[in-house]
Amino acid sequence: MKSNNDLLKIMSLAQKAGADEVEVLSSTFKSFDTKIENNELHLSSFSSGAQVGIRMIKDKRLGFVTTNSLEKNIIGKLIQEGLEIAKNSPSDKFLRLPEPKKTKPVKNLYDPETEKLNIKYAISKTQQMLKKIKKIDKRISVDGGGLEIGISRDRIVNSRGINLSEDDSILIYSIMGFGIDGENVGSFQFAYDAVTSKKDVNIEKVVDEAAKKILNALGAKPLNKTFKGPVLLTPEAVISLILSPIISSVNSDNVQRGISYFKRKLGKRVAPDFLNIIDDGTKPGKIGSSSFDREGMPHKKIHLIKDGILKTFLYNTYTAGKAKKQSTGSATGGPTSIPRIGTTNIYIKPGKRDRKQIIKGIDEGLIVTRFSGNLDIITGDFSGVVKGGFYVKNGSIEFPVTGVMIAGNSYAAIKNITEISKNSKEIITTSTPDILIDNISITAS
Amino acid sequence: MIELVENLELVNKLRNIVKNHKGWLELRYQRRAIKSFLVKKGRIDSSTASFKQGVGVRVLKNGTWGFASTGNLDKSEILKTIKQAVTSAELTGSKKNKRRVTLHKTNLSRGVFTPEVNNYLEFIPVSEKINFLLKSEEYMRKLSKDIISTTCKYTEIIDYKIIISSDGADLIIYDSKPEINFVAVVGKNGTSSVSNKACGLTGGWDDLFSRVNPEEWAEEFVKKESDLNKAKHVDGGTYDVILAPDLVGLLAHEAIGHTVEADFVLAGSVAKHLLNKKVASSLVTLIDTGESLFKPHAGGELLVDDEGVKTKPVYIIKNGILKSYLHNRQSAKVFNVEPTGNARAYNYSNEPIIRMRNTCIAPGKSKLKNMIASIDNGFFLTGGGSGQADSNAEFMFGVDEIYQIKKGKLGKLFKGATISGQAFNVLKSITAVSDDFKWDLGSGYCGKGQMAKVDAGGPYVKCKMTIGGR
Repeated sequence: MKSNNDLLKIMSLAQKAGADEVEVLSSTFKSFDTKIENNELHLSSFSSGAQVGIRMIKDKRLGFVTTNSLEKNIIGKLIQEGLEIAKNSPSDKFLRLPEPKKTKPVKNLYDPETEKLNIKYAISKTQQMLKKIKKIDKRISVDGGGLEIGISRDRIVNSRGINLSEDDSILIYSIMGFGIDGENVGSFQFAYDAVTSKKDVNIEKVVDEAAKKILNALGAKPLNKTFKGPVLLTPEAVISLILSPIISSVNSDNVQRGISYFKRKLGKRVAPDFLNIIDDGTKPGKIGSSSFDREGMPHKKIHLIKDGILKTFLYNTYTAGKAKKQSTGSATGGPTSIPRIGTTNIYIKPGKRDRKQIIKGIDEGLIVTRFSGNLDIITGDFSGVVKGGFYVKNGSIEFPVTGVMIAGNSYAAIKNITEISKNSKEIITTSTPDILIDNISITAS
Repeated sequence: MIELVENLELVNKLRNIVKNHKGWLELRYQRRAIKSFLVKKGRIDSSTASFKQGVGVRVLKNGTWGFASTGNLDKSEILKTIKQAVTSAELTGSKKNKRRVTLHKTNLSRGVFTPEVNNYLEFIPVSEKINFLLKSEEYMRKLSKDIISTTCKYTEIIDYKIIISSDGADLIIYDSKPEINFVAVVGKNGTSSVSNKACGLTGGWDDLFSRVNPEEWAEEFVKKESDLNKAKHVDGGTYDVILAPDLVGLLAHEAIGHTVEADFVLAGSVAKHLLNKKVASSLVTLIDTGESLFKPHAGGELLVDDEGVKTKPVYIIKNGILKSYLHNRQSAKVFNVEPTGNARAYNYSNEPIIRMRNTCIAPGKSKLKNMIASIDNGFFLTGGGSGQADSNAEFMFGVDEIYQIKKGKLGKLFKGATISGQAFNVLKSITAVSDDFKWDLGSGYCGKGQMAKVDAGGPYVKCKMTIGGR
């Protein structure tokens, strides 16, 4: 895929084969990556290629095909298969491709410096990470992680006139490991970061975070009591228990299928007035940003929850058509699948007091840094194990815990959030403070 | 099978490249065709036909791996990719590298390998696959007015691989893995529950329907919801329980299997010090197998692994004693044992790493009926939800269906909860193993940096288990 003209050629192939509407998108990529295994740099690898996705609508019936092969006969055969699928599918009057809309380029998504990087850079950064974390404490065993440099060019055309392309660069680096102290093996911990520019790579940040988590998990003790009480969720746990149910509930597809908890809550209070959640795909230099979505619609800044009130759902072209609304630019996915709905960069506005002050106010409760369990996204019921948790008594952290389970309901917790912290943390496409919730079942095992 | 002839030219091209390369080289061609259809509320929510092919190149130079891949099959492109892999090996290896990779010398497979397939998926028309889903979804949706949402999905993965290596692998693998996934949200008066059932196997269209009965699944969903509506939460605590084959499989795979993957053992997993030690009740024999033992068409069936090693059943635990880890050729050399055929790569663009195949506890001699009768106050657990386990064999699984056992009798349904514990402790607490057997991991995907199709299962077992309350 050297230019959008190649996509236009595929589009006309599909039209000639009988498709009424056609969308062709492609992603051309190259990547270098390294993998850590058993405390050593284990492997470095290189890959490059392209992926093409072709969405066809014929008599209001949908066919979608995807391939990494650019051979004309393979693409031709797939187009036939896609139309065969369409022919055998029920018709759906809401199926349509979007009309072009003006898009505004988002800055700093592509760093030309990354083109000059090679496998050597990835290897040296990975070795630095290993060296630094080993220096911190000998009890740390690094079992995974590495660094990946990816450069991609995304293109999209459709038969209604959309014709766009954008370049992205990304550097992802991570450390996974656990502590070993004699026979005592700690729980699995990880830390990672992703940036769009070489100058933003900060391996110390990931090394320090991983080391801290791994060592903290080592001294963990069981908790010998079962009670209901307050739980302070740190950002990773906020993503699991607060953000993910909200993201699912503002998805218009879930709303239309009747399985969103928020389906009748538009314009209503779903949280205390100090909760504000924003999705913004136009932030410069952020991993979740791009100037257009999976269907070529512009991204924008969306206030999902404002002062505790639910302001909008997220739509792609299909669900917007069904709801007689406009797409919010929330189509997600790539050339391997049809558009879904999702968020871009989602963030929760921080509160007034920092973590330390909030902990001081807890008589007896838990700090949960990672939750590993089940969350029923429809009802909000969750139960699972606390990973990297701490027992709090009379306003101070007593000890790290192991084998403790928590259970509660996310939507009830969101409605009754006690407090949001001033400190906040960016994790890939999210940014969130700590959140204090109450009335959570804490079970010792 | 037409492809075998069609691709002879490609086989010869790869053979020649390997023959003319100085040093150790492994070429893996993989072509993967996926078809997937998803029906929600009477409409096709998504349908995909995907075709992906390419060559993964692995070299071993100065005791270090190098890997690169390409989607372009031109000879010049493959040669360029080999060069990239060599460069990556040269740069990765350093003088300080303590552990130089050497491979266990073993007879690598040659020939053509295909699983047992009844009614090839390629010969079933698209219309039949889509109509099956539309019909099943409609049946489920119309079964009760309490059904809020329904999802029926069919996916097939058809692989065709060629593996040629410098030290003797020369083989063609055909593989066919269909799967079905049904989800229903059922509820009334503001409460609802999600039910799902999935089945993934190795085989053809007829094999799939020898195991899947969509109408039965739908009826179970509706019955379960009406029982759940009245159900209470379990009081958290440790109980005598019966685990159904799905949970036995999940435990064997997630909580035990990962800790005995040799790469993980070398990094210091909890199993590191446990070889030849008693780690479970002597009733427990735990196996990871490439072929489908006990029952046919296991979803993770693998006759030869992606290094060309013929797979064999690995007795991880035999009569309660930890006997073996799971190996590729590299770790087999380190431990000085035969490779077990556990090296797997999901795509041509992934390097082979140590993975499980089909992991299970072997059936025992007890009768399920007697096992239930022996429990005074406990639960019968089935319907494994998502599961996670840790390097120390601590696990946490969601359980959908919890039935009370009171004075030896199976009783009412309780609301779903989470079970957790340390897997080896659970295995030690086993006091009965039933004579049944079922492969039952659902659609069966396992992630470890890359995906793998796996299966798991077993008999019913009686043990102690901690259930989280609320």
